[in-house]
Amino acid sequence: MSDLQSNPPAGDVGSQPPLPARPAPAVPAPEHAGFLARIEGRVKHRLGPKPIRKKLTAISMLACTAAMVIAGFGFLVFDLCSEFVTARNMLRLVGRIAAEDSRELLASGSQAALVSTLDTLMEHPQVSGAAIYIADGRAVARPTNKTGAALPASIPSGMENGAHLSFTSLRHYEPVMEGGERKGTVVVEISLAHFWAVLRIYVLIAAVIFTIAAIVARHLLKRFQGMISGPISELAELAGSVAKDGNYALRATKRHDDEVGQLADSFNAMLLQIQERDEALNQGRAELEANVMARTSQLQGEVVERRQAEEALKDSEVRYRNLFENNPMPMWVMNLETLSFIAVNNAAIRHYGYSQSEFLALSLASITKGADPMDVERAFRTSQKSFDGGEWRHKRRGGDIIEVHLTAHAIVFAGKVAKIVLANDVTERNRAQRQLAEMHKKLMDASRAAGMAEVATGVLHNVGNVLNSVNVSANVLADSVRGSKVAGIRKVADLLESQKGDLASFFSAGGKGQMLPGYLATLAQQIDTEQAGRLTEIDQLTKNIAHIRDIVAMQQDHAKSTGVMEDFTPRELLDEALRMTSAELQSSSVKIEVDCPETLPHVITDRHKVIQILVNLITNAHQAMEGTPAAKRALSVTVQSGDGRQASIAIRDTGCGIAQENLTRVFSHGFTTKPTGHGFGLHGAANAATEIGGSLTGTSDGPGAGATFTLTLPLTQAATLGKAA
Amino acid sequence: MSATMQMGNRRVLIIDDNRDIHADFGKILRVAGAENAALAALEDALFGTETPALVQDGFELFSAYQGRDGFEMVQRAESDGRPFALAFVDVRMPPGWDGVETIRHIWQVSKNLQIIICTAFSDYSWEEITGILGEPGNLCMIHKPFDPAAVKELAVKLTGQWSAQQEVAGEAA
Repeated sequence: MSDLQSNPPAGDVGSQPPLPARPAPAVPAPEHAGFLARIEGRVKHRLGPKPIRKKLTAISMLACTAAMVIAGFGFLVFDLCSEFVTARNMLRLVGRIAAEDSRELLASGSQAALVSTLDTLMEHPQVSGAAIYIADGRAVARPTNKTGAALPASIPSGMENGAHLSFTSLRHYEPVMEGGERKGTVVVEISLAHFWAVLRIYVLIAAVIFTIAAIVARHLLKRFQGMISGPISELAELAGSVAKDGNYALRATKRHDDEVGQLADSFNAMLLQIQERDEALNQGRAELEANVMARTSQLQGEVVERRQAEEALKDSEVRYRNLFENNPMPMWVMNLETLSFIAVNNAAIRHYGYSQSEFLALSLASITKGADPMDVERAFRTSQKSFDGGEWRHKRRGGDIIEVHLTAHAIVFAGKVAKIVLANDVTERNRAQRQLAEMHKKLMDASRAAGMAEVATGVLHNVGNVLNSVNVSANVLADSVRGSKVAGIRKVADLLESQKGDLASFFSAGGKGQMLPGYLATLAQQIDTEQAGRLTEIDQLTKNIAHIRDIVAMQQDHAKSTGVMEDFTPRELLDEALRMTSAELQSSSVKIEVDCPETLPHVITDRHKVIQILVNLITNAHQAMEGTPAAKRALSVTVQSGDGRQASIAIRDTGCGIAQENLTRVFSHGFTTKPTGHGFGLHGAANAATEIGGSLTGTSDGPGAGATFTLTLPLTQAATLGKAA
Repeated sequence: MSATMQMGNRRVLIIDDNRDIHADFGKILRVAGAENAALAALEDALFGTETPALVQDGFELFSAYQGRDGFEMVQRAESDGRPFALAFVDVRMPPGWDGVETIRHIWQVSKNLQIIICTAFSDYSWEEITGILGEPGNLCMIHKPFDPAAVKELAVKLTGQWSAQQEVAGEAA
């Protein structure tokens, strides 16, 4: 209450309550601002930090007080004014009456009468004094009132008529006129003591009413201010707890759909947003933490590694010394220029047999055997940092030779550039390799045999088929002979023998002999037919047997590897090879074109090897064309004599072709593209070609473009002579 | 034809890339002509003998020169309702399917077809063949050169077996 009372009433103080977030400035208002504005500023400043509840109370009480004070003041003024006007009017009336009464008395100069008139006036309870003055201002009658006081003895001559107000009294000056001439003045006075008394009572009443009103207002405010401040306080508390605990799941309660309600809604929406962001933030933070953890452990790992590396480095010298000294491989360090040994390790001493001092007196060139010392120097005086020195033959202390593979590396040794050399004894390995090569050669020979077996398999197939026909033919012949009607002749003979005594009757009409000529004719025809059938069968049999003989002869040729050189034309060899493969080629409907000059020089060569090569090439060509459409399968063979020194047989197919990278590989041992092949064929063929002084080459324009294999055979001196002859 | 009907199904398919073999089968399975019958009648009249009636084997022979062709013929015969009773199948028939591959396909369309594998040498052992084809109930193997009598006997026996199986299947159905 003291707060309120100390503050003068102000107009619209509460219309703009200062926001807590933005405190009012400490300096209330600028100098030129009005009084009210300055008060307003001060009130705002004082109320700023207070809680909203107190602000509401203060503002309401201020408004209340201001209203009451203004109302009370208004009533008081109105009342006093009306009292005053009544008193003045009364005074004026009394004054006039007195002036009227006293005019004649004044003219008569009867002072007693004047006094009595005035006494009558004084009888009025409110009139506190009356007097009559003559024109010069002197009093002619001035009775005393109840309190013994009287009006002054004279008045200033220029005194105006009408009411004159002083702090304690109200006087009325009424002129006394006689014939238009002022004869005197009547003065009537009312004491204002009564007014002041009334005023005091009024003020007292107003204070009491105000006090009661304030108490009631405060009580009411207490009861109802919660409607406004409550939700706001709750909101503030909620915001406080959200800020303090970071619990974004809390929500404000909305009571009404007023501004505070809207604020609660907005606050909740904001909380929701914050909650979502908070969750996203938490998630991000978790990820970040995981990353940091991972990175931390990685860093720790790196630190450990680095520490290990440092430790390793610390030990490296010792280690390297150990590595060198105790390495199981012979090693040495040698002078870059002279190639003399500077240091040797234990393994080198053990392996070579030289003692350390002996070693240090030697150089690499001096222990190398079978190579020029200059070559050794040239090989190792290279600027390369690390290089493969190749294989060398070294002499041991006892004089025996070892084969070593040297690897060299440039190092700084005792402040000078030197070479560290590692010697790997490959003596045993090389020996094993030589054995392996021998084995390989044996295997190659075996592979040739396998290649021939392939030929033999084909031969067997053909023989089997032909033999079948032979067998059937023989059986047919046997059946034919067994069931032959030739026996009929014997029967006729027996019949005639039995009828010998009476042949005439036998042949007479009605006798059985009459049937005999017809039977014999039929029999002869039947025997002819049998004969023809048997001849056909025998013919076929002979052909088939010849066929088998050919096949077997060829097989025999291949079964034996005589190495006998014989005289042939290339055409003969080619024809034989084609004959051997014709069954397969025909069954796959491969078109065969042979381009061979009529006259060709002879070759003296190992026939079976040439046949083996050609059969192999033809078989390969045939197999390469398995994926080619039947209409396009063609095998063209071109025989040429070239420059007269050699003949070439080129076999070209329209098959799957050979990729560029495989053109040389096709000749290598074990290379095959066939699922069931063993990779002996071309390898063996190329070997055979070399053995007979010729060569075998292959070309292809790539996959799908077919391939050409060319066998060249040397034309011998004899062949040239034969041609000349 | 009535003889054929009497004997049951005598339709035989020969699958072999070698034409001579087809001729061989023809010689074995086809019976010599009926011209002998006239001579036999004359002999009976002249010498008073009794020639027994000729047993008519009457095999109908069909030829295929590649495995796939053979398979297609079997397929067609099945769909025409005139199935083969027996097939002779060669093993080596370049460049197409070999015999075993062919049989595998054939049995997918004609389960009861009796098959005789003919081989000049052992491309496949019996174990390998059964490994590929499974239960070989309707399969037997002959080696070239084969005995004509044995071939004929097998042909008669197996076509008979085919007919018996059909009857059993029919009764079962």
